[in-house]
Amino acid sequence: MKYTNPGPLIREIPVSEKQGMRVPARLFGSTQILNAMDDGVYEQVTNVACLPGIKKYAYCMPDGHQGYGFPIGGVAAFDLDEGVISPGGIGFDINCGVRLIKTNLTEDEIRPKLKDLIELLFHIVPTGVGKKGIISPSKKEFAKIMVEGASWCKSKGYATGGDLECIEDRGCLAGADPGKISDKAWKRGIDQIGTLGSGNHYLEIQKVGIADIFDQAIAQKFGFNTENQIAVMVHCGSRGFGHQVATDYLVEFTRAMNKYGFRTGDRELACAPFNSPEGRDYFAAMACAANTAFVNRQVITHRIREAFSRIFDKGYEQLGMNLVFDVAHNIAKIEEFKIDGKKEKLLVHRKGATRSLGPSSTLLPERFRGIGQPVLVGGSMQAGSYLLVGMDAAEELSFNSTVHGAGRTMSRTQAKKKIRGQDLLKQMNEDGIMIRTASFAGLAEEAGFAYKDIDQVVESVALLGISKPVLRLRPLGNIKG
Amino acid sequence: MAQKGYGYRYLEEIISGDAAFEVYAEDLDRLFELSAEAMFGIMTDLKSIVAEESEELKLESSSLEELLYLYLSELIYLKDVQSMIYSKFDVAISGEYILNGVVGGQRAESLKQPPSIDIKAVTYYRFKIQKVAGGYRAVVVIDL
Repeated sequence: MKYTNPGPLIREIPVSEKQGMRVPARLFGSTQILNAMDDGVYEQVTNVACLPGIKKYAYCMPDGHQGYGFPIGGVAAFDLDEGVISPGGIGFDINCGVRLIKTNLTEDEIRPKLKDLIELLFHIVPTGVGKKGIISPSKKEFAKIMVEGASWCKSKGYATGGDLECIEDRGCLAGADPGKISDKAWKRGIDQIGTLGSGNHYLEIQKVGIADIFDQAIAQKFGFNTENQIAVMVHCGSRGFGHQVATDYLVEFTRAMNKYGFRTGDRELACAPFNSPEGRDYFAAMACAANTAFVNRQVITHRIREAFSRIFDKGYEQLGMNLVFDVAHNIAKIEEFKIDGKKEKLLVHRKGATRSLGPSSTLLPERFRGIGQPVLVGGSMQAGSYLLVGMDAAEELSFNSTVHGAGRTMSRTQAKKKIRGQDLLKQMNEDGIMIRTASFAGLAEEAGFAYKDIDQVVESVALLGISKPVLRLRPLGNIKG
Repeated sequence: MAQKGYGYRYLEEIISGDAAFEVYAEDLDRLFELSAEAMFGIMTDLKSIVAEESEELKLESSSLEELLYLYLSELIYLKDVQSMIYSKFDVAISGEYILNGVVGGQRAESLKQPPSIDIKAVTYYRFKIQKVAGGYRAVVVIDL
């Protein structure tokens, strides 16, 4: 496809490149990243640009790769009256996200107990296929979880008030309606709360070296001020509940396409007007799944705090185990932006992309004002991850959106052919990373070489000025499904 | 794999993070059965699964492609709510379009080797059923 370069690290595909494009498409990244992106990404981001009611541009972030409907890394905002909502712009794992919990422990303190800690975490955080959740809510309680999100956890003692401030939207999307959830989704979700899942989902113990701190002042404000300080990262989503909601509405939206006279050429891009019965129902169901995912990560956090308390024989408050932040990276939300100088409410889809509010944003809780929203970028279990903060330029450049991870470059089968799980485990042990996994084959599929270089991905958003690197987290121990 | 060139194979080139397969079968019943087998084969080696428990299912749709989508999605749903891994699939399709089926499998917690990965959902990406010489072909991409 032909493109122009309206600015450094921005590749723009004009509307003339594909019939039906309503706005240009913009892909972000270094030349190396953009040249390496598969053709499917270009195809998909320009398909998104054809959807009714889309505003400004269809975007793809530097960690973008081919998805279903939208590319992973896809961002698009739609007019609330004339625009659409698409399950393909959110993903099957609704509110898949990442959270980071800091501790005041150091690597020297944790090393002697790391094996016991990893073992305990593996046993008390259900991991892998077919595991039941930590809590078994009644139907009435499950409905509350769907509507209240993380604040339900506070009422049950799984969260502190401080936790809620450090979750995107305080861990609760408005508009959730359990009446829009199918019987199947109820049954599939009710006993999976507090489970990590499998695939690329993980719980990782990480360290922050002084040399890995890029902005000392902000790192200190987030509580990182000691050499090789320990933190815990959790990556998971709404589990079978969200997968079922997405499946149910994908079928319904595919059937409704004719009714609204929409043609997308890709059934995964099935959509309905946001302001339609189907659109409103899906949004209400999606919010239920998003809130359940916030609860999932919070309940897991509770277990992590319990495990640390048990191993170190101290309360989690004494161990300084505060939540740094929790971000969603598969979600659609109503947010306000200036379009042609006028403020408008839009439905922003982020699929494999993270909200990134700059320091001036009035949406930030008090503690993040003047700093920016923490953004968590999860890397492979070998390469580690990043903590960034949002920058003000993201509002104009990317609807306050940034990257979510490293992005896969190799298939699972190829990864398994390149290395055996047992060999990878040994290699990682030699590198000082302790692994506990439900499956060796599953471990091999997640080898670091199957992912893009996370440093390059982060460098791209830093140069674009949409997010600023604060620190890098390196893995010490990991449990995965 | 079935006899005479019928069966399934995994397609690596379609999507990097997930799994895709193509199925050839002499008739629609077999096409559906082999699609289910290919889907659960992503999780584990089905030869190691003993069909200790079975479940009957009945589905209806106005389109054949949607019926396959609903069938595979139903199996993913049953896998989660029953905590089962399925390895035996019997399908009979009649009319336009009714599916009667039986699935057999083993409880996930009783497996000697845990599955390497879960299957989250059936996608509509490149999803199709085609009539081809000697039978039918299907392409399915599964979100992992």
